Amino acid sequence: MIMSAILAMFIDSITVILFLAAVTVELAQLLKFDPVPVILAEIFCANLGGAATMCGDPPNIIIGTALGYSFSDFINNTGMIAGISLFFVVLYFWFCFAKKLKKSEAYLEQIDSFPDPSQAILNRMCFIQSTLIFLLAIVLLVSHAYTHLTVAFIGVFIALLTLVCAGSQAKDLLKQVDYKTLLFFVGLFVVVGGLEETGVLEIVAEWIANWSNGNIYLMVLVILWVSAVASAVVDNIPFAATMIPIIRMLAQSQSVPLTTLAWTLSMGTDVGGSATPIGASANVVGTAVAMKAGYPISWGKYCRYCVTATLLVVMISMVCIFVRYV
Amino acid sequence: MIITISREFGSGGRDISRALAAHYDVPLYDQNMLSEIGIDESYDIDRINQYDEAPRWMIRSRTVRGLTNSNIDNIAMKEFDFLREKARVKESFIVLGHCGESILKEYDPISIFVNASMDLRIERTMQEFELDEKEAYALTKKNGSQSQDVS
Repeated sequence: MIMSAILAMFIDSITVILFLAAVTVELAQLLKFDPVPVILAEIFCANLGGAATMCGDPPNIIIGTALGYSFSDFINNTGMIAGISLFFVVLYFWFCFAKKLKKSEAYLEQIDSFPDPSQAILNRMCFIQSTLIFLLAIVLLVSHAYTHLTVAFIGVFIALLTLVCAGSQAKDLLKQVDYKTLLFFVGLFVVVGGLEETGVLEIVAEWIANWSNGNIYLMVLVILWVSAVASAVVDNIPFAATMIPIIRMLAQSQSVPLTTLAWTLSMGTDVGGSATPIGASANVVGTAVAMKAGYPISWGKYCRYCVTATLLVVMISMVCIFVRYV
Repeated sequence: MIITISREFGSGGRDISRALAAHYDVPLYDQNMLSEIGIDESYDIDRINQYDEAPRWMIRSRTVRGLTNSNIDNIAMKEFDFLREKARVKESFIVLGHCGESILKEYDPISIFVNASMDLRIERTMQEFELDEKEAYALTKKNGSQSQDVS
């Protein structure tokens, strides 16, 4: 769980879960235990870890870039909330699954047959290059507030560096770029821009302002819980993109700190998606990997554990935001 | 020899497939595939049956990088891979439903579509499910597009 959360802070959660879920399934087959509880916990912690940093989850990248926040801003704010939540989430999943995951006797039988990790490295030079590029990306992201490099520039720079190091394989790498997702983002920002220009978002912001009557507690409540519920059923990326102009208008009209609303939106959209199997991409990938290995996870099984965990984290987020920012 | 059988609900496709399998002494792959495709033994196969040849709920599923959370789709893909592997190693078998005629097209199977008049289908449904005529008609009509057969 902790590895999942930490990896998801720097690597996109889909990649983290693709890797961890596959490893979990292999271990489960080797050590004869049910991997489903472990995969569910990994999925949830990956989404939570992604909420801690600016690069961990797409909504955070969008919020940070649009509102001018840095990597350290996210670490100091959503990172703190995610860290506190992670502690309680680990306890929660421990209580839920401890009895299901007793130490397997197969562990002692199989220990001599465990593969040597170094055998997985097929090309030592490529492995070293990839590791160095990854570490450089982290350093650039962590320090971008001082270097004044945008996250977008860092992303493109790292991509170009990877292509240069790939040499003859660069063409194959370019073919694997997810152009559909890039076009999706282009279209998304065009649509959100249209909603903003036509005044639709202003109407939503006014409704929130009128309903809350300028009360910041109610504003935080609405934004946090509506974001969480909406993210559970629709993609959190367009939701976050649409809410940014709304919270900007609210901050201006109601004289409410924009940072408070930004961290609220970030936690709501990042965590809410964990509640259902379709709420976040990591959930889809994790359940698909489990099913392909012969362990189907139904909606009922998934929601039984993850809805409660999501409610727990949203409540912790609400308390943290009220105590620290309001 | 590969025989694929598709059928209308209530037309007797399953009975025909069993008879053919017994006659030619070859395996018949139907819902029994679920126990062959690698579902972990801790799962109740009878409960997993609900996913077999079931229509996908679009609203409850998403696809990310070619991976889907839909158990219905994933089980279907595993079953398709199972059938393709059986065909690849030149095993003779009969497959009932499961889009057999489409996914095994390259192996040039003998494809049979079983249909029957509505009256006969209702009559068979009434006998198999112990329903009255009205209920049997409703069930037959409901399952018409899914081409499921009575057991």
